[in-house]
Amino acid sequence: MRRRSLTGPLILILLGVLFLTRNLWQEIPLFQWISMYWPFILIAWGVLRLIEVLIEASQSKPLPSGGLSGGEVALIILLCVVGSGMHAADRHGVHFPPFGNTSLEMFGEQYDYRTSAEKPVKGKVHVVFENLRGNVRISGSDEPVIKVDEHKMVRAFNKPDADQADGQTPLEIVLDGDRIVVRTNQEKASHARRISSDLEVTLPRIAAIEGRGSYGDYDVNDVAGSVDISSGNAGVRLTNIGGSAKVDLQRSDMVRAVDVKGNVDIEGRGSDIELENIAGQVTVNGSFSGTLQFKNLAKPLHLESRNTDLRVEKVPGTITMDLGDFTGTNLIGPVRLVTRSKDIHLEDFTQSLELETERGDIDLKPGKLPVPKIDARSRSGNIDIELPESAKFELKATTTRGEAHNEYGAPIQTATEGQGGTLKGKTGDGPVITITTDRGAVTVKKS
Amino acid sequence: MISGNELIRAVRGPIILITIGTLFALDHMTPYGFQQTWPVILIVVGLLTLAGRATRSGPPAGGVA
Repeated sequence: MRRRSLTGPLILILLGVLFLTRNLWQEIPLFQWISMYWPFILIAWGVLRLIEVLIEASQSKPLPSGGLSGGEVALIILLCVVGSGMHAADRHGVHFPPFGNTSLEMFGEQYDYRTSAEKPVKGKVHVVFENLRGNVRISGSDEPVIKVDEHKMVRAFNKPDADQADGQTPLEIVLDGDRIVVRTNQEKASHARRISSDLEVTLPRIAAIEGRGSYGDYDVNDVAGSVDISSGNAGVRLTNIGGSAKVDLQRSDMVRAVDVKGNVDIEGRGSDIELENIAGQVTVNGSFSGTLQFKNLAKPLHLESRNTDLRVEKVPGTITMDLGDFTGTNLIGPVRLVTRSKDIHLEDFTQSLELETERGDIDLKPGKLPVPKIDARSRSGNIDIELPESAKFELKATTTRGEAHNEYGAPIQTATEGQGGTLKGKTGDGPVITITTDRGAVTVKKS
Repeated sequence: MISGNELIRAVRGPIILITIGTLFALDHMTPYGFQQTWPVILIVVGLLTLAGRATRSGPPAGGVA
């Protein structure tokens, strides 16, 4: 009889380890790891089979021809399809919801506990929240006291177990150096993952806030100090913040900040971002796959992700972007946007524009005079530009494969070259407008 | 005793598997995409077939001196 291969049991072990990791350490971006490193499973599998064959050969046993069974080939093809699918999904910013979370919470029953604590404070304070799991809602008030209402949910099989867990995790407000720490002590319980605490906090308006956690939303309103939140998985909503805001997340469904006087700094991975009325600089660094919206930013915006690099001097209007589209209205330049594949619409922008996309149509309406200096290129996609009648500019629009349409009229002249075409023209002494596409139509219109 | 030909045939699957795995790893971690490197698979299969022929017992295939 042929000796059974080792690969079957090893794959089972690997799957077990993966799911276990997923369940125990949720904050590890496992999906990202697998999508990156799955080819090593193929390599390891191949090496393993090679060693098996060589051992069998050295023992002069009969060798299987081809080395792989039909079932294995099918499994390998499946692995390739799933693996490259995951990689493509990850590269385009798709995240899968956590599924390890629900399995444990199906067992047992939920017991609720409510407590509260308060501590008078004076002067400017720095308050740190340490709540592993659960939502935190913070609002500033005029009273010189920190008040915390806690709603603790313990999942257990019986009441004594739940009571014990409740006893192990007291709500504390303690002074630590020049900081005040509010903690829920969940990590002290024997089953930390089964406890979650929602906190309702009021504190003196001038406080600076620091939030730490691994799962749960943060809601901060009417605070004059700075806000710094880092979490494994959180939705963050900030309203009326006097200082700067820093948000660092490994996963998130939503980051929203409205009326912030200082800088806003967002880092990590997540879905939607919504920023409105920000007086300071805005920096977004990471991978956010949902809809990103920026409205009324008074200082420079810089967004950097794996596929997109965006810099704008000021945004009096709106920028909306998602995976496939970028729309900007009323921007103050210089504007610079480099992206992989997006359709781009820009209206009313000033100073200068530098635009580059690999795949996607570009639609430009500079609107106001004087016309900004423009350099727009697409590897594959149509480019339309609409220029005002009295604008002064020097235009050069080129397509390597595609048609060139002149709907502006004189003094722009059209020339056909091979499979492509060029539009050239100069009115007065204006900035240079360069438009280039490798494949697609270029069109110049008059507004 | 196992002939060289049998050995080559037995290692063919695992070697192709390792090649494909390496190409995917290159695709994900370096700028060399799978759409550029796939001919490597043809080369590896070709080399394995050649090695199989060279070690075959019996009358040599046409073209072998």
